Amino acid sequence: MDLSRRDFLKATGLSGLAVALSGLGLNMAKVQAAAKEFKLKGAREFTSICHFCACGCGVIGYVKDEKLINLEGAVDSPINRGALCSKGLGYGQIPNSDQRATKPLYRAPGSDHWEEISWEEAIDRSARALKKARDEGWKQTEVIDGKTVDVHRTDAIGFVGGSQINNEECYQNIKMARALGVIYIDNQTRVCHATTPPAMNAAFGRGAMTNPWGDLKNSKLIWIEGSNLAECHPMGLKNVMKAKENGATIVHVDIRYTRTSKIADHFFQLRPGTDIAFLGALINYIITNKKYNEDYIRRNTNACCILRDDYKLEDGIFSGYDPENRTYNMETWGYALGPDGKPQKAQDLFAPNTVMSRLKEHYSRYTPEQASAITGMPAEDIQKAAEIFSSHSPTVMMYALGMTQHTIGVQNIRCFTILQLLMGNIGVPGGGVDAMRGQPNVQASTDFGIMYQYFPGYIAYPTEKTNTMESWTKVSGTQNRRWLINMLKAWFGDYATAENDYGFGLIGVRNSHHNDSIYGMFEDAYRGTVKCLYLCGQNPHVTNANAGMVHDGMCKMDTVIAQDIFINETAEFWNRPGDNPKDIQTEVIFLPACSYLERRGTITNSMRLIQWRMEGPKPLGDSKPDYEINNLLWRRIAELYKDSTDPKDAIIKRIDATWNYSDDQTVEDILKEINGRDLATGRLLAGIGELKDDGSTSAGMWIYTGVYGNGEHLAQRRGQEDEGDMGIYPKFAFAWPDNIRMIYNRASCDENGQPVDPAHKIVWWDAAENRWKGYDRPDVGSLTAAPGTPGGNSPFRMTGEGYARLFAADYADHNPDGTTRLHSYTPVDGPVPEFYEPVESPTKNALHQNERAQFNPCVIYPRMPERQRIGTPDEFPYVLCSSGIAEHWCGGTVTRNIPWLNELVKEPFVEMSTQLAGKLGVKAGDKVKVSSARSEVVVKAMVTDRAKPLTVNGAETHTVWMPYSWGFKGLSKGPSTNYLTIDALDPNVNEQEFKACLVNIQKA
Amino acid sequence: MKQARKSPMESYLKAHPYLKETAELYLAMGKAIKAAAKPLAFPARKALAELAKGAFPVLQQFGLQAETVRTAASTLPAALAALARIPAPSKMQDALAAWAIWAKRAKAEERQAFFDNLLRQEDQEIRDFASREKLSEPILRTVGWAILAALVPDDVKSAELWEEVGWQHNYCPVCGRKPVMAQLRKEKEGRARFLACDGCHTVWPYARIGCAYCGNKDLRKMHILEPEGEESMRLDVCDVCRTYLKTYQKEGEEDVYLHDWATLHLDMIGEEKGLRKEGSVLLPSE
Repeated sequence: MDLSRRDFLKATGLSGLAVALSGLGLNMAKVQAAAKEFKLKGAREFTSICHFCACGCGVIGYVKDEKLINLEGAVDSPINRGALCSKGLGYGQIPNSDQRATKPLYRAPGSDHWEEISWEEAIDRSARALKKARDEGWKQTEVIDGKTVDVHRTDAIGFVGGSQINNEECYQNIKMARALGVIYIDNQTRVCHATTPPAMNAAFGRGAMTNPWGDLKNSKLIWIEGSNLAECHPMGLKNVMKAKENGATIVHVDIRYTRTSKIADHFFQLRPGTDIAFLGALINYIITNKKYNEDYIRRNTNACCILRDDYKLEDGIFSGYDPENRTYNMETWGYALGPDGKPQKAQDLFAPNTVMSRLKEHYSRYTPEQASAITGMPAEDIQKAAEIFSSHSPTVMMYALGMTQHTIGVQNIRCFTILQLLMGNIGVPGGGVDAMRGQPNVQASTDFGIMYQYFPGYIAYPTEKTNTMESWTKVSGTQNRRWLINMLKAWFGDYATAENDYGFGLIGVRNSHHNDSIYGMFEDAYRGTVKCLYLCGQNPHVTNANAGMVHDGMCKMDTVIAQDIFINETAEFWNRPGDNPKDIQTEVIFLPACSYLERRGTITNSMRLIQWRMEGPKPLGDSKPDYEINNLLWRRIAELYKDSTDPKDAIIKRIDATWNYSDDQTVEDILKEINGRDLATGRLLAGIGELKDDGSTSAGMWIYTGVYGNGEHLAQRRGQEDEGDMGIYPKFAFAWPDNIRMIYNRASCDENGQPVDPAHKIVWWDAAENRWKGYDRPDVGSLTAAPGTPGGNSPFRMTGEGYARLFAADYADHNPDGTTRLHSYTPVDGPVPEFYEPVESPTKNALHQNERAQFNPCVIYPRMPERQRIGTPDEFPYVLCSSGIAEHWCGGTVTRNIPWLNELVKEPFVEMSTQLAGKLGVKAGDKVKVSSARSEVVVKAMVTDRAKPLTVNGAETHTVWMPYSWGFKGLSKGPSTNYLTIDALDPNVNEQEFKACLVNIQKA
Repeated sequence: MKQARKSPMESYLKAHPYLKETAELYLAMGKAIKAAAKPLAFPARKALAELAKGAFPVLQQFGLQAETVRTAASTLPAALAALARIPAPSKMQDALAAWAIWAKRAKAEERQAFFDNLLRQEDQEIRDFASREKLSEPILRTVGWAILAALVPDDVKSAELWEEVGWQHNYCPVCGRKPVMAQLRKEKEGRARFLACDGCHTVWPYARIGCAYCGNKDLRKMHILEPEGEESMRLDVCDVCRTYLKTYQKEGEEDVYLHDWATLHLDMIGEEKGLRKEGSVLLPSE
């Protein structure tokens, strides 16, 4: 082909540059000669998401020679805009860390050391151990409540972990667990935010953080309670500071003064475990002084609904209590239903038996003086807090584990939901209840149901009461049945048909009376029934309350399989200083996983944003991505069962038939399965509304449907558009459900679909186009459902009622044919929060004389009297609260292997007031023995004034504080605080009471 | 006042002696044209923000474009006269002289037409004009754009202004040219990317991730070339459109590095690799 000079120059544009410069008369020969001397090194950049606190900050990594050279904040992420906290940056050391486990290891029974083994051997041993435990511990039937039930499950295996792995890996994990018939399934959510979903669900219909981080700038009041945002969610703090610059007021309520209190305009100290007393006083103030948003609560809540007249609360016990089982029959907590089976509304907000009148009556006991006696906060401060709260709008309430980690955790958070509904702060910009999760992917490990009581997508798991599709649907409703059918189609493929209830019968059945949580798991291991434990990125030896139970339970197991990035305390539990490994016969197989930077996948942050992580450097040594390990493990298990004709093994074959992810596109294949397909065309579904209940579609998890809509990987998007400037960024990644960023946003409009506050509108009904539109995806079932029609007037469409619940009444909404459509959620311990003391309390319950109602009447503790003594104040006079710090993170598996973080904080300690130190004769730095009814540790004392002694019910009460991130492995070692803490559990979700137990302190 | 220490440019040229000839010529050209062509009055910040809302570059808007073109046209003779006095290769001096003759004889409309075509990147027109009048195309493009650049006030070229305005497109907010270079600037614990215009020397913010030319956002289809011994610079290569973008990855010596000609040797390397260059005033736009 003949090239003209023009074409030649065009094709090799740069020759044009040299030629052009020669045209200026410059000598290019010298430049060209010099250029030849330059060597080039190749490099690349990749984007990912930080692996700590669930803010989901964007990072950019730089790789050269397959090594990570640099890690920086991503400036285009609306979450962090280039910022990264010390931990986030510190993670850059992990891909090259010499502390990394790079080879599979085996610890033989009784051995005092690890042996290196091949991957083949490690996978084979693990698969065989799981098979052995499953087959030997198989439970085909069980007698429950006098009846023999076909349960077809195993109680001999425990699966632990999930918040450290990506979404696709979570899905593999739960699929594997359910295929094996495992019931003891749990993840970090248990110890962290397990109490959040039930509380939010009870009020709003969904369990997740309501507003995005970017929305904080729209708030006028930011109320932070039970959180040390500044240290534990640094990007949350950045957004809070932006709001402060816009004139917002910041309030911090906590048990001690922290870096968060420092940036607040007002700080209020209270005794650990007394938030309900304090918040109850605020509710009382709002109702008494008519500070509530009447228009909002009439439009959007059950405020006017009439309750049954046989509901009551007497001396701390609600109607319907069964003292023997410590459960409630919730019937009396229901509405006085109309002839149509729906709640009836009164015109007068305070007519007899309305929700509002019940609320008023209930909280009238929470006077400032009463709340002061309980909390130790002066009555004037309580009054002041109430005035501040009720005089600002919009307000966002932000919280973390200071609210969740209690035996009354669900009810704690329910107080927030009531306050925010009363003030009209849900579904509006600047409002919301922001549950700040703590693990990078705990939102997903919760979403995917790596929990005993759920399927993926918050669908209830079958118990003996719901062990057929019919009985299950009666309780969970036809709406949830639709999601379940899609999941079963994804898991069982063509086998699942309407005739066989989509394979429902293959799934193991739980005993509803049983505690299958991580706590039940180790207790039953101690009792000798749990034989094999599979852990994936969790360290319960450090992070479980009453951690000694974890150790002792593991000592009795046959096999522990630990899949993790470092060898932590749980993996090496048999080698604890002071113990003799010869006494421990448990074999341990260690599967080295690579870090997040070394593999790809999606991850979901606290505000339900699903983001993409690219692969950076290659996995270090022989470590492997979790998705690869999971594939290897599953395939080996399936292979071991391939010739079985035993009916109990049918489920394994069914799931193996759909476990056909390609090796090089495993991650993408899995996400597509999760997203869901039209089974006739193979098209990837674009929204939840496309899921059918007739088996013609499938979706591994309905709440994520749309993330891969029509084949476009929406989690990979980095769009910077923010029309309306509300901090929404709808084209940056993908939020579940259906890319709705601010859930319940319909509540910001009136009954005609017009924004109540036009200056801060977010969604609206466009009459001209006959559809809902907005800066955010409108939170409505159908975008064309007009206001005035049932579909267009359900601001809280995930509750049975379709509106929010101040009072979490017992209510099931029915289809016209009488079947249950959707059952609203009611916490097991009450329709409204009532104050109870922590299980270990320094005082008596000031509200109730009743011995049954000192602590939560539904809590069963001790479960194991010989290991779970309840400490009393005469022996243990001080209140211990524990939480995290900025520099170290959770169990410390990662951060205690980062040298410069260890430089910042070297060891654990106990923080006490100067008054207590004086009383004990202790100086800062002295070694002290901290003891509880469970154990004792020796640490150094830190003496400060951050937690002042309080006067509680007339007595001086001291709170001490300890960080919990230490253990006997890692570069920085120290005693684990959780040997001391109490494993009393919230009765809704079995979350432990880390925030309040009793200790004694003596000079060591 | 005489300085004892070398200026950054002096130090740089000492380390890169083969660039000295090019640098001195460009610096001298710039100085001469700056003296001959004074900046126009541009709209204030607020008005610029309004203009930018439509994603239309400032100088592509009718009124301002006309004024700029008129001013450039009337300045041309003085600029050429100033350039005649600077030390330059004889080839260049001849080309300047030929153009000066044309400029003297041409009508105002003809001179305006030239700048109009230049500003609107009508490369074929420029080529035809050069061919017709037997003028040097490199000289026309280089000097023509240098005059246009001198008419834009310094504060309009500033990255801070365009950050505030919120311009994030892959073409210059002032003249509409594609970028010729990029810079990474520290922002908190990350780095923001800015693009630089070879025509009017405006710097503006752009997406940190992806190809600045074709819009490819898949980092698996991009890679970086680090020239050993030139640690301040890197080449961001797009595997989709095969361009490279010279990127200054430090701060403080923008006066040296944010001239395309200052790292000419890296362009040679890029050519060696078979990669395409975009955004240079000397090359027709793609």
